[in-house]
Amino acid sequence: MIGLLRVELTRLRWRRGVLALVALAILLPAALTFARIHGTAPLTDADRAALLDANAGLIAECVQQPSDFAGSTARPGTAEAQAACEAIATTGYQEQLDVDSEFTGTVVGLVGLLAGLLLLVGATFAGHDWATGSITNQLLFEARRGRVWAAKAAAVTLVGLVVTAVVLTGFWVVVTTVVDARGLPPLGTREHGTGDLVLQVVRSSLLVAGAALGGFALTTLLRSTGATIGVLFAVAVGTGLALGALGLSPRWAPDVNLEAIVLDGTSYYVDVPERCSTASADPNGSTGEAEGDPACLSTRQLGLAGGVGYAGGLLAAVGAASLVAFRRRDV
Amino acid sequence: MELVIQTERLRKQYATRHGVRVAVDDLDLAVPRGGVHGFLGPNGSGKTTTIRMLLGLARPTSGTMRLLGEPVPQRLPAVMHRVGAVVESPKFSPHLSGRRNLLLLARSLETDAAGRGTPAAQVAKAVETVGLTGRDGDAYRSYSLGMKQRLAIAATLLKDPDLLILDEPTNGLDPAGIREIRETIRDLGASGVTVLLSSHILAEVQQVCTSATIIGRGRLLASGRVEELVGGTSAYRVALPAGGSLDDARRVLRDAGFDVGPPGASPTGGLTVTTERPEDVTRALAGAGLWLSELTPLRRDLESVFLELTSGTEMGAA
Repeated sequence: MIGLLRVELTRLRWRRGVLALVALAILLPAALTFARIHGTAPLTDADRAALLDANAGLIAECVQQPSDFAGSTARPGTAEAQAACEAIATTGYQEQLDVDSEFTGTVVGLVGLLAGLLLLVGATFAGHDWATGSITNQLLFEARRGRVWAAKAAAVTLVGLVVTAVVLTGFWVVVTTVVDARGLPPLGTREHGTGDLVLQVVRSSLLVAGAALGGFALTTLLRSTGATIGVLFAVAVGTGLALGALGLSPRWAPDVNLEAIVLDGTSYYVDVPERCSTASADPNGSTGEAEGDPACLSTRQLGLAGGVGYAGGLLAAVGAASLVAFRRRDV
Repeated sequence: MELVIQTERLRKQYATRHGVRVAVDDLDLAVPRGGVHGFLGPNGSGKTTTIRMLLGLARPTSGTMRLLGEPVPQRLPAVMHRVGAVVESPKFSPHLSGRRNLLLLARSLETDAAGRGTPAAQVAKAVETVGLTGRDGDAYRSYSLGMKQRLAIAATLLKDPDLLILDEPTNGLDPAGIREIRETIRDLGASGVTVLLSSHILAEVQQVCTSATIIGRGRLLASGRVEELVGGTSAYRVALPAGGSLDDARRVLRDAGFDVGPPGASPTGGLTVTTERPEDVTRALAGAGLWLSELTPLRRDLESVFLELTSGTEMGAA
């Protein structure tokens, strides 16, 4: 089995489509990381002078009435007001690189990107075998179809796992290094510590590895990369519509579950029953939520277990169908 | 007689929109060990479907199969390393070189157990055997059809097989290539490897094969040694020297009890005589003072046998 896995890893390595996708999976996050660091860089003296110059009129107004601009307690016309107003015009709107917001923001987007790309790796890897017919040759050399399926599945899963672990570890190493270098809130004062970051990398790597495996399994089932892409497009476009049409909770939307896995739980919004709106209009000001009626809560929580159950269930279903079909159908 | 391939009442049917289509219909196939066995049938007669079932690529609807004495598909993994096969057209990854394609296949074999040497050595040997040395580093997609066929045969040789199953292996080859491949097949058959050669080229089967099976519409039509299939020679053409009287010869032979064909029955002139004892023909004519210039056996070829057996068969399956 190890020998077959090595063969499949070599086959993966020799596929140009796979190499291109893996390169994208490394380069796009690298570019995104660079953009985040560049976009949150502290202002230089020249940047600051340019901003003060561009906002001179606004600063002058602010100095006369500081309380209108920043709720400042500085007395109008004083040097204190001048300093406060200049701060508003320069650093006040400057975004800072922040581990906590990267944890809940950028990384979720990155994992989504990686999941999509690695899913395509799995799909194109399997699709090539069917498109060229080379799967026939492979089965003439290893007739145990279950082993062939398992070796290929393990290869794409491993690639998904390693690529994601490397990319996200690299992302966090760079971000935390830059945050520390900029003298921003040090590690101990952040909401998410190193342990959280490591666990997020682990959860995300497993999620993306699952996506790669899912892409492989679905393509092996459908025997066509194009068909897999079509199904995924339909899922991406149709899930929201279907959930709405069927009156199902957004809890079943793929993106909500993905976020629950990456963030170790998430929240999502639901429509509350009409009686809750009636209650909120009550002259006494009481609402369903305030009264503790769970049905009136517009925000719901989805834990890690819920997300893993959703993704794992889908993967198990597709994987089982793929394996059974691969073992039984004529090639 | 040891059989390397044996099927009993092998059947494959497909459900289609128009009902059930039977591709292989209760086929009993028996291929003895050693030599080259031809597998003949018109297009759609079920040859490739039979081969695909034997190799585990398709599941039979019913019936039993044995490869090298083992029941398949149950024990296929145990014998697959001893069976090399080319099924339909060669199928490899187009952007990889021929060598890399073969390396991937060679590495998937349990080389240590079989003691075949390193995968690279196996590939080099196989490439040399089929005459692809020097081109094995080129991308497969740049190969001519003939080179692709050679690469497919090279792939079968990676296993050092006891049984080779070749489905139309000379398709697309130039005349020199066809001759080389036929010689390779003949040599393999002579070296103890049993070869099942599926081919439409009847002359090829007659030249290369020691035995053959003919199928039509998925059913067995005939099977046996090639000389048995074409039939024992019992018809002879009798020619006399210039000035010899064919009418006299016909009379003498008829008086001696021979079955003599009507005038003009032999397209090349002379008389056609049917007998199991040609030496009696010479004796009878010599006894009457008539001297032969030629006594030629008239052989049926495999093509005529094939056409007789398959006339009226229609296309059923690939």
